[in-house]
Amino acid sequence: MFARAASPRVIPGFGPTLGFTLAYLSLVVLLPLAMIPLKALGLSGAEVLAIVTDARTLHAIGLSFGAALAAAAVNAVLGTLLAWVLVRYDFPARRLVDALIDLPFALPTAVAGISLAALYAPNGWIGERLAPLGLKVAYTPLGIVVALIFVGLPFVVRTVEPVLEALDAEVEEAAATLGASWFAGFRRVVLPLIGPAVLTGFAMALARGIGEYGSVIFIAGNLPMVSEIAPLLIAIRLEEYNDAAAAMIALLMLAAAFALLLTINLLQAWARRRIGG
Amino acid sequence: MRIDIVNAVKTFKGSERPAINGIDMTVGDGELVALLGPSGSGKTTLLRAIAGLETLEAGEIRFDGVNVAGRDTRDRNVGFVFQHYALFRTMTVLDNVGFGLSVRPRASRPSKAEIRARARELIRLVQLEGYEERFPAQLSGGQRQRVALARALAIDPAVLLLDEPFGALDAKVRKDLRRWLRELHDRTGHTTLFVTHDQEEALELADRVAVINAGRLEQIAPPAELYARPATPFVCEFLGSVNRLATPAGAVYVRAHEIELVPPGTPEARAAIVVAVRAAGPRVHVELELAEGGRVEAELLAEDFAATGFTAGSAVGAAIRRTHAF
Repeated sequence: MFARAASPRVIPGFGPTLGFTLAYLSLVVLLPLAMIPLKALGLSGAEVLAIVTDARTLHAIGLSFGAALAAAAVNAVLGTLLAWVLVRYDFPARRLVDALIDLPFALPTAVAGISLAALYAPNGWIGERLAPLGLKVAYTPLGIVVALIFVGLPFVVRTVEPVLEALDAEVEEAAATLGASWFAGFRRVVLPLIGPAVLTGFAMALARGIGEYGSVIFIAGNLPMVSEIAPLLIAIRLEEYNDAAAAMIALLMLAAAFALLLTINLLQAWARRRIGG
Repeated sequence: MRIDIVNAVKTFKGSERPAINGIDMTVGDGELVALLGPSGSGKTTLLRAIAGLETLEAGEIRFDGVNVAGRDTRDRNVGFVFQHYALFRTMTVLDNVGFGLSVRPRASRPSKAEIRARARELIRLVQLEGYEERFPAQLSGGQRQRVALARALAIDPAVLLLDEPFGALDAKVRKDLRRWLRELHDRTGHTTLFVTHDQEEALELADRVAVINAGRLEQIAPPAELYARPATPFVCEFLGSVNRLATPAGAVYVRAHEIELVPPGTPEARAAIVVAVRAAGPRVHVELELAEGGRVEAELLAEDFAATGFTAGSAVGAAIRRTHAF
């Protein structure tokens, strides 16, 4: 099976390295994940049902996933555009813009949260201009989406950028000489080529968005049934010493996240097959 | 369609020297013209400017008398074949060829069935029947080149522009495709411009050859005339292997095959010694050291050289049959 090579190989130590990898993986990833169902096991069937059907829990989980999906979708579009501009054009501040994109990666999430809250609060710089339009961002689900767009942007830009760089501009020129509008050329020629990368960026932004805590809680306002996200609810349950309930919510999130990523991976495999590698 | 290029100038950002520097030339309707020159001479830039892929900073490009210099590529109706084909690798051969028709505005777009029929027709024209459902990655270089050509022809272009069309192919395929392209041109009659750095390709294929050097047009003429009566030293040196001889009246140029080897002491022949002999297939290159100073290379048929009985070290006479002076 795992072909223990009979002849000496140039690459050494299959046994020890695989052993180390598995041990490390178990300790760092699998063990913590296993603790979640174990903790939740302490609950009786009725208790599980009560948590799973609790309106506040369901709303929090729905909000976390919904906001993350919306933010990742916005980022997939904006991030792709941004990457395209950065790759195809050379403008004076290009290097600076390029560096700024990584800022959400590096910035402590709490810092991002505070600055966003200050900006979008009803008396904030942007908030006071949006208020007359009837738009409330801070302390609403919309605020959560804004925060998630902020933290998720680099994921899409950074995954799409190298793929676009490898893509010959000649292909876009060819589409233009054949009479295709910029949009038609982008949609029919470029997008199929960078699609898998966009999807990867989307998935990463989504995963980050679902679990995001620090940057969200300041701008969200955290009203139960309105703008309370699932990670915050877990924290609240823990503070109430209700470990089992916290674990149960975590388990729900784990299952949902797993299903989502599986779907995206399947989509990606399908897209890769279509463009033939 | 007739193309006039009038005083075209283009300088790339950050470069001091213009890539093309005041080129004037005309391509007649249905003509097949080669743009020949060393790399970096500006020939590709000129081709891209005609297509609208580069913007000129001065000058005009006229299609049938109408200046199109400010017109977008999409509205110029040119068929452009890129050096590395630039095929759409997510699409089949059929979809690649049909692409130009399928992106037309709704009002002028043929039906799906018509697009497929037209694409099949062109695939037949470029002799790729049976490859309709293949992807570009599954084709050889020569086949990809023909798909690129069919794709460019599908929009029924006013002019066909080819950038180093055979540059990335091996010698055998190159020769076949060259002959095939000539036949195709004679059949379809598109006004065609192609860029090449290969003089043999230009001379064999084109009705007229435009020699371009350092952003300027050196000469445009039919191949035979270009060879027989080069207008500038550059053209003379660029075509074939040429010797430069210093004379009191200035430099003259002598083609290698226009030097004859005769017994030493023959009147009118220059005294020389054979320095080296290199065989290249049916021909031999003979390097001569002239008694008056300087080295020249003579080229003759291997059997003719064998008949003279000369070898390296022989004293010979070099009879120069023809010179070009400027």
